[in-house]
Amino acid sequence: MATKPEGKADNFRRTWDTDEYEKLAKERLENEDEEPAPKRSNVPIKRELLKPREHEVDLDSTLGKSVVITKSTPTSQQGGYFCNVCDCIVKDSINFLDHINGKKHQRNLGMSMRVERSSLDQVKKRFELNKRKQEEEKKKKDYDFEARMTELKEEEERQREKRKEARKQKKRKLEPEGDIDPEMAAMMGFSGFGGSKK
Amino acid sequence: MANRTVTDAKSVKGTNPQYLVEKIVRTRIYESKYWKEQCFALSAELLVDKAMGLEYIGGTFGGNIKPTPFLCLVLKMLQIQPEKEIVVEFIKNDDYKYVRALGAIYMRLVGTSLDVYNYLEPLLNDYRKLKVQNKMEVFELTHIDEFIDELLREDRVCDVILPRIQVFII
Repeated sequence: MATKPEGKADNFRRTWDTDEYEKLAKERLENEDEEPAPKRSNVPIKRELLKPREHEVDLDSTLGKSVVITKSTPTSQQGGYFCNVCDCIVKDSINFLDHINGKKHQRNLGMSMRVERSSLDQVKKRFELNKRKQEEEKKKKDYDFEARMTELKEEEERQREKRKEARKQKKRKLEPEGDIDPEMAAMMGFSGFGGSKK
Repeated sequence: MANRTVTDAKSVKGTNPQYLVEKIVRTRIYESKYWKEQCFALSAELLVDKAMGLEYIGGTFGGNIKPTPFLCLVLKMLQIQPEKEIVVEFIKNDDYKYVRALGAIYMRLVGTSLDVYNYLEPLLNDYRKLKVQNKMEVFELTHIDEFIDELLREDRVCDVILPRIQVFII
């Protein structure tokens, strides 16, 4: 190591042991020559273009529910919105949307923030596709009317049968009460369960 | 970031195209739910879906200045800057009046005076009705030709200041 810098009486500046430092520097240079520091690659990482979400963001499925949180609950259930891609919790819906749309999140998904540029042909095709889809839906709706009526009738019938069935079962449930052996009842000191009014 | 204009966008009227919508309205759009949820990562192709789903036009509404989906899509178009042919395709389509309205306002914002008159004036023959949501969240009725007339004459439509165009003098 270098000697401690000392000040001389006539000169307040510090003096340095130049020989010592020169030797150190030379040593360092030699070492560097032997093993050059790993260079950062200049090739940029190719990321995919930004894609929109396919599903709707689920923001209100846990709305109005209360859950007990203890120390041992996993982070994904600790309240707030949990992002399983970035493994973090966001406390409110707007911030969660910000996070999902953010650079960090998209990077974790392997996407850059660039959007694909679509051509005129693509737009034209999209117009046609959507138009056809809407027309088909309309057709289905018109076509459905008759079928829907019969469907409704069937549904009604089913409901009626269900009600009948329920009534029958109720009766069956009530019946056994009368079936208690009177002798046994007398022995036990009562004549029936609860239903004094019959 | 998600709100940045595309990098290869040409500047419009000397600035970033998104700046054509005023700062306050723009921030309101950025923080609106429709923008964050529906408008994320839209390309011109997917914008068609959203535009077809429009049910009314309008600027901002309510006490806390919420933007309508229509206004959000206008900003989205400014952001992704679709080619002129695509905008013309929007204007020329006959079946969806709100797509047409969207294309018209975008053309008015970005196009040159000549383009604006060329593409918008034919729409004055379109008398279909349009639903408009006004500032008080009340729906009103207008027509496409009225809307186009507003675009050509007024200096403020749907809470967006329209750039000046040359007045056509006979």
